[in-house]
Amino acid sequence: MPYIASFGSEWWTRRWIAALEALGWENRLERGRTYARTGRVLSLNIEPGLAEARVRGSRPVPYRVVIRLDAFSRGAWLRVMDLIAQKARYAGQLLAGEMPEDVDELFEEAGHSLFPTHSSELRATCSCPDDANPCKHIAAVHYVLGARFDADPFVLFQLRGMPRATLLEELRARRHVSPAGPPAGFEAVPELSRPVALEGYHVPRAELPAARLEMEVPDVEAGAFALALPRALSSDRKLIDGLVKIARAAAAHARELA
Amino acid sequence: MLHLTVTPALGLALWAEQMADTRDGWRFSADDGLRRAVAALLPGDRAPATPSIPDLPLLWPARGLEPTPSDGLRPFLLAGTPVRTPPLPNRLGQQHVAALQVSAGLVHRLRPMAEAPWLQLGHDARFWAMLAGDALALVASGQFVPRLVSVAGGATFRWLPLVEYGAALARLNELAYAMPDAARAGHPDAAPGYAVKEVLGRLVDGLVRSGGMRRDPPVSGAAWHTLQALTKLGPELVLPAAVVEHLGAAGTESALPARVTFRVVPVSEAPWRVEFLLQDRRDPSVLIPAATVWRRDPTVLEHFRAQGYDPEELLLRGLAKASTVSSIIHRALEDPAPTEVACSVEEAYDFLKTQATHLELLGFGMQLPAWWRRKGSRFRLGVRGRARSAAGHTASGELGTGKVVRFDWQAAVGDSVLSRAELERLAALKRPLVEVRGQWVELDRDALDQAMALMDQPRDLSLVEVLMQGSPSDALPLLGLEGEGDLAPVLEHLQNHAAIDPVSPPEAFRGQLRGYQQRGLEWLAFLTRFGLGACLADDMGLGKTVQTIALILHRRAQGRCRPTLLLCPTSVVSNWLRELARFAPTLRCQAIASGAEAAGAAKLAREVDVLVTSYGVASRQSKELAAVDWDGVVLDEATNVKNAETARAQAARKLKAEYRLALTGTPVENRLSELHAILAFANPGFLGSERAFRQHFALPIEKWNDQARAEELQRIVQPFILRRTKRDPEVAADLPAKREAEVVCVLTPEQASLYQATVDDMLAKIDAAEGIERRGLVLTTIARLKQICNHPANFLGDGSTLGGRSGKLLRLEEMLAEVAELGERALIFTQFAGFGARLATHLQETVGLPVPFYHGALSGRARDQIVDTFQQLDGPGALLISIRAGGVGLNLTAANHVFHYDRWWNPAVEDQATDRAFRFGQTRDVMVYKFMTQGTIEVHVADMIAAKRQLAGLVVRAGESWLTELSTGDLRDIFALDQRWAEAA
Repeated sequence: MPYIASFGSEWWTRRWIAALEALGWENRLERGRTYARTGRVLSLNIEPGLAEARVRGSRPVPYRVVIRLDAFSRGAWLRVMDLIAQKARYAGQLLAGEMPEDVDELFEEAGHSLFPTHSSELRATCSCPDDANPCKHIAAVHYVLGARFDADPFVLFQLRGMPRATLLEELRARRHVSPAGPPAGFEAVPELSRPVALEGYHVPRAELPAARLEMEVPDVEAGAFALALPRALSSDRKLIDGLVKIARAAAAHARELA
Repeated sequence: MLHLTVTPALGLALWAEQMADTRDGWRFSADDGLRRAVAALLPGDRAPATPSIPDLPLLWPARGLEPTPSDGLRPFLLAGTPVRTPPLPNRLGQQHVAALQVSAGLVHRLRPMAEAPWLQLGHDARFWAMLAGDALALVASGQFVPRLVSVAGGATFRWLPLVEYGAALARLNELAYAMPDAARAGHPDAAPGYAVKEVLGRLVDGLVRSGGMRRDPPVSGAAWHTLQALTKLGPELVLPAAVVEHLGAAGTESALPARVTFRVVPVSEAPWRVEFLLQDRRDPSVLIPAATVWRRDPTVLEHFRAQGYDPEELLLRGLAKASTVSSIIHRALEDPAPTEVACSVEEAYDFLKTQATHLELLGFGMQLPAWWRRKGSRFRLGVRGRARSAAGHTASGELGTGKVVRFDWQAAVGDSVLSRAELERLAALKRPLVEVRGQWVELDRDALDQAMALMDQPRDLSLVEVLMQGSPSDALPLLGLEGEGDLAPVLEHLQNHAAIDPVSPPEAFRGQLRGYQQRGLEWLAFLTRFGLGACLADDMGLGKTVQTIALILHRRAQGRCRPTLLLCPTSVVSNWLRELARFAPTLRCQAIASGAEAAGAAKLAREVDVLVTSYGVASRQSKELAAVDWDGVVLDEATNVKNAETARAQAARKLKAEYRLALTGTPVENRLSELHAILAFANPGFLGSERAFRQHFALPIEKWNDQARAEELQRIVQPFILRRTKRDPEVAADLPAKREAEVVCVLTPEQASLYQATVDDMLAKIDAAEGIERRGLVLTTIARLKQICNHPANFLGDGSTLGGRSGKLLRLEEMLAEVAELGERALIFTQFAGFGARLATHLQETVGLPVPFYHGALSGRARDQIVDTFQQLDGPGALLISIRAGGVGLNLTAANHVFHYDRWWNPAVEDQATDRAFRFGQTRDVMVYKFMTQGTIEVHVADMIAAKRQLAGLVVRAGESWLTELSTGDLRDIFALDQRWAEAA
């Protein structure tokens, strides 16, 4: 398993942790942190309604940890999906790796809560001899699970019984637009994708634009870099300031060459 | 011929096509040509020993299995064998060539190399060099950002340009459209749009890496990896998987087969639309409207499913990401399957102004209206001025650039003038974008207020002010000026360079003006009619003299009978008199003798129509000459007044005349202080003081390469400068062609041993010497080595026989014999006068032709006689000329072969010499042969100069003195005899 660089950097993961804490798991997760960080969670498999992991403990054979979360009924999911399909934003955000900020309301309208609210909804077992529950192996799996949530909001749905592929397919079916309406198709400028030809192979296919690009006063902005970088880096001032310095030097150098 | 092609890795590779030997047919070579080119491009660097891509597959025209040469590929004139017609291709086949991966900096330097005589650039290389120039401009303007991109085996960071909208996008599309197929010979499957974009990205990335200062900020973790990936030189660094995972989904964005693009559609009297489209990454010309995606068009589905993606999900995902920076897209996503979003004008303005920029930074595509962000004033509120004839000038012909004119100002957009009421209506809308007669315009409050203020209060401007400042208000571009009566054509010309009245050639003119000369006369007649000064800067040999003479006659025919003063260098005074007598026999022309008494000048002026005098005499008699009211003052070789402080420049400025005309054959635009001095003479007060000119134009343009200032200057001076080159189509149609070839000769064993001994001897002395003594030794060495290359007898000065002892001489004898067989005539230039005399005699004996020797020691009459005889005779013949004596002023169009027996290493001087034959009056194509000796200083320096020219983009300093500054090590490299060639000899 990859090392866990961050845990709970996304709001839905923090909601998940908050939900666990409300269920009385307070502070017990800490015990699993070192385990998770040192890569002792060897595998984590998420199926509808359950997460199954192998954790290396003190014995040669890894322990098996199973975390179960009550899956929603098909009827409940159908209602949720009807709601999700109403706005393109929901599917778009999920696909872009974001949990819609108003996801709670969607599930509430369908009479459910995405995050667990009763301790009976969430059950965990471990094959270790430790009596404590959660033991440090279970706690470690929760860490890794949190990292999974961060990376992919679909994981939470999966745990609630709705695999990603099914969800997307159902949404697609609900989105279906009738083929009537204005004609549509590819728009293409055929000349731009033309194949090579023997005739006139060496010469320009049309008159080349004469002017060159104008140089403007260099304008290297930290704000632009923050937007262009992946979100995980966009608030790293030190990095961005460093990059801006490099970019300004490069612009000055290019001015000399030009 | 050098070629560049995009490679499958989307970089650029340089390769060389060369015709090795006619016996072998045409052969692709990546060895000699490439090494030589790269060495020239990388002065100081070590050219790589082997090309980095030893076996690049190319799709190339072929006949059967044999590759065919590029259009226009020149053979090297090594053996002088006749060139066979190259075979015509009948198919495209695969060829393998050795190539070299090249960077943007290197490609950029290729651009000016097209001029080097030993090298040609293919259209493909020019194409990519153009793109490299764009990459440089983008980096210089800071138009680039760091981006995470996916690459084979993972992801990495690259510096990528911001080119999604406005001028840059339009230009890249035009480039892609025009791309020669040969430019993707190495990767023919790449769509041009894709290749252009990807290569531009690689070029920009390379430029930033090589130019960015490397100072590591204290960062760790993923940031550290990011920094490494963005600063590493050489092969790209693939980020560790854990880092990519940490950076999240964004890392895979560039691996997606399509991205979302937004198209802004302005709508009159209704909400605007922003349409959503999917754009294919491999072929950016494929755009799929959102409606097509939602309708699950089978073609679209198939296209993306084959790559493992669902088009709807690509669209949804992109839109959701875009909604984080755009409020209107966020709103659109409240619908289940949005295809576009309607927005108010204010929202559209905000989208164009800020959101579009942010979306581009996030990697989205943009299709914005063409008028948006386009440079120039067509789509902004501007002003037009109308000159009131009553307030302005006096009688015609007295206008000059200093006269004050009263203008009425009108607000306008493009060609549409807006009334006061319309302006007020627009102001009342309080909208950032308004539609004016069908054209959307960005309108800011400030511009509106200033426009209304100007309409209320006319402002007086002098013509100089109008030209210099461009507009009476900084918020409003000047869209045009018009006037009544005489002002109309002047204002029209100053702005559009147009509307010049045709004039008929003066009747008294004896001769026939060529088409471009007739236009030159019309231009001169036009400007001088209004008292405006002019600078005629046509290339040498295009007939500035006849145009000037025609102007003088034209003005006399218009009733202007005051005399004309013509200032020129002493050496061409008699030439002017001869030409005046030939083309305008009715004019009374005279020169002031250098010893004449000062009092004589004014008296003489009353007796003649044209007074010709040298600069020297003129400055000695400046008082006398300034007392005369001249019709015109003409400065020939006007660079003589380039230094404004000199006595001759001051004397020239003091002369009183209806018009002033400066003649020069050098492109004044490139030397800004000269330009100022010349135009300050032609139009006093124009361009302001030298100091102000330096601050406003010379410094920004020369130091900072400021394009905007350069264009401003161009716009201001353009009406006053007419420059045509021999390459201009209108001129070329009237002129025969000039072709240049390097003739590379070999040393005889005698020459080689003399050469080696001299190098050894002199280098030891140079190494031990310092200062002036060292410089002297270097120059002596250069002279001796050149002499040896010419002929052992040139060096020894011993009067020994000439036959059979010099490779160059043998070659010259052969080639002269060929010229004689054609019945044509040749000029031979050398810089060694002493040897020249012997050479002339020898050639006369061996070739069997009269070969007179034209040199500085001859009397003026003897020289004139040689020229006249040479020009008048029919049939074969040759003239040997000492280059120092025969550089300027001679007209030797009877010859159409020019031999440079030894090199002067100053292209300007050599071209001047060449232009004795290649000039007005020449009726045949001119062949120029530049001799040099293989493996010696002659070839080494030629290569260095070619390289230096590219690097600086400037004319190399004249002569050889720069060589004296080189270290002994560098001198050794330059002097050294390449042993391969010595052995061959």
